[in-house]
Amino acid sequence: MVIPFETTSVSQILWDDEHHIGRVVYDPVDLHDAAEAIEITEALDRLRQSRGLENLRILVDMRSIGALTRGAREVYGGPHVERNRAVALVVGSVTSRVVANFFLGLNKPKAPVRMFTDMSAALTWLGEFRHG
Amino acid sequence: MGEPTELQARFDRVLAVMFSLAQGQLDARVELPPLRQADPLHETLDGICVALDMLAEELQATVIRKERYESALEQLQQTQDQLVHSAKLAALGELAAGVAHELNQPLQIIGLASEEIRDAIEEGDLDTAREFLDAVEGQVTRGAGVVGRLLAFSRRSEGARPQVFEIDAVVREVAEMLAGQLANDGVDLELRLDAAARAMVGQPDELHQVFTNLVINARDAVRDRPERRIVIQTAEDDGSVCVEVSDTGTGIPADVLPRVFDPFFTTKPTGRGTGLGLSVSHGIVQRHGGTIEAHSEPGHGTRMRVTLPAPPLPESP
Repeated sequence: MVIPFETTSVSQILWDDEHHIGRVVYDPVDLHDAAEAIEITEALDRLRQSRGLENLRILVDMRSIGALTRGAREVYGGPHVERNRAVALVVGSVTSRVVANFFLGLNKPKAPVRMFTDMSAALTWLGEFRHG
Repeated sequence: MGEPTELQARFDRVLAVMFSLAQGQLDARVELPPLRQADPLHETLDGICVALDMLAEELQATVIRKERYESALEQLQQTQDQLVHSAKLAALGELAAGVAHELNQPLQIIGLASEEIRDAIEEGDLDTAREFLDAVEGQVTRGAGVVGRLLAFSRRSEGARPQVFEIDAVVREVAEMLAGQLANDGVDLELRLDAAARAMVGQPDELHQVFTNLVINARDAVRDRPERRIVIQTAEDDGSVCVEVSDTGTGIPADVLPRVFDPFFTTKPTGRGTGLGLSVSHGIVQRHGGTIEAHSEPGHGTRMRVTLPAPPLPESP
């Protein structure tokens, strides 16, 4: 069961009770900036605390995302990443693949981050970090 | 031809941004909302627009970062030049007393000789007058040499072209410049020069400053010791020359030794040392591609070793 947790200005933050993961689902915004990225990371932090977890596995559904500013990428690549155990980026459109590749290539996140085009493959991969 | 389609207009916009970026206009962006249509051509074009904007943003940030680094580097270089100059002035101050002594002696001789010349002329003894005039000339040459060495030392060598020189000649100059001062302090200076055959390329004025600093430090270390002795030794090895300045001074405690090259670190009494001499020397030696090491045994003296690369020079045709 997936439970809504919070709504930010550009996304829905959900708790996936079956897989014990946080989910971020982007709205179809054209340009996603640093302020919105901070909103999302803070919401994820609250989700982590509400679940009494030290770190979080996250599935980011970015299939509807437009462009991402450099500032937003820096927020996602910042200290917040260290509170994530693993992050699966689910992409679909060419644009979302471009954005995900930029993030992976230029921000070099410290936590394990991987890009998927298939939702179930992303969930399986996140499952590998359940007890890690 | 009719109105351009939305797709054509977007391709034109992408091309225009690419040309603007290529011409250095780094704030150029496509900045068009995605078409979000399912067909591959529209989708790919959306991706290209986003990729181009993100690349342009990254490029602009990289250029700004590079400019900041370059500006910081330039400031660092200016600060370093000022430090080198300050240290040089400090060393110059140290030399002033010795130079005054060196100049005073010929001036006294010239004064006495002038009286003798006046007497000889009054007596019509021109041969004696000539002899004393020769003596005056000799002392003037000696004084000019002292002043010339001082000027050479104070001259800044930044931006100077690298010169071919012998390290032994530089060491000899330093020894000559400081000889009077060391003699005043009752310090024996011994030269063991064995690198004359190896020509080097670099800034001899800067290395002059390094060895002057080392000898002045050695002098300060032996000043209150029963045995006051400084040895400067040069040697050449395969591809390098080595200059060692050793003294019979108090030595440097083990906990102080790692800090002697730190800027503004000094063990000398307030007002005696700037704490810049060894730091600046370290910088100069590094710029020459060499190393400077401090070896010391408390109670038994210190040995400062400068190693400089001296690859064989190509033979003249």
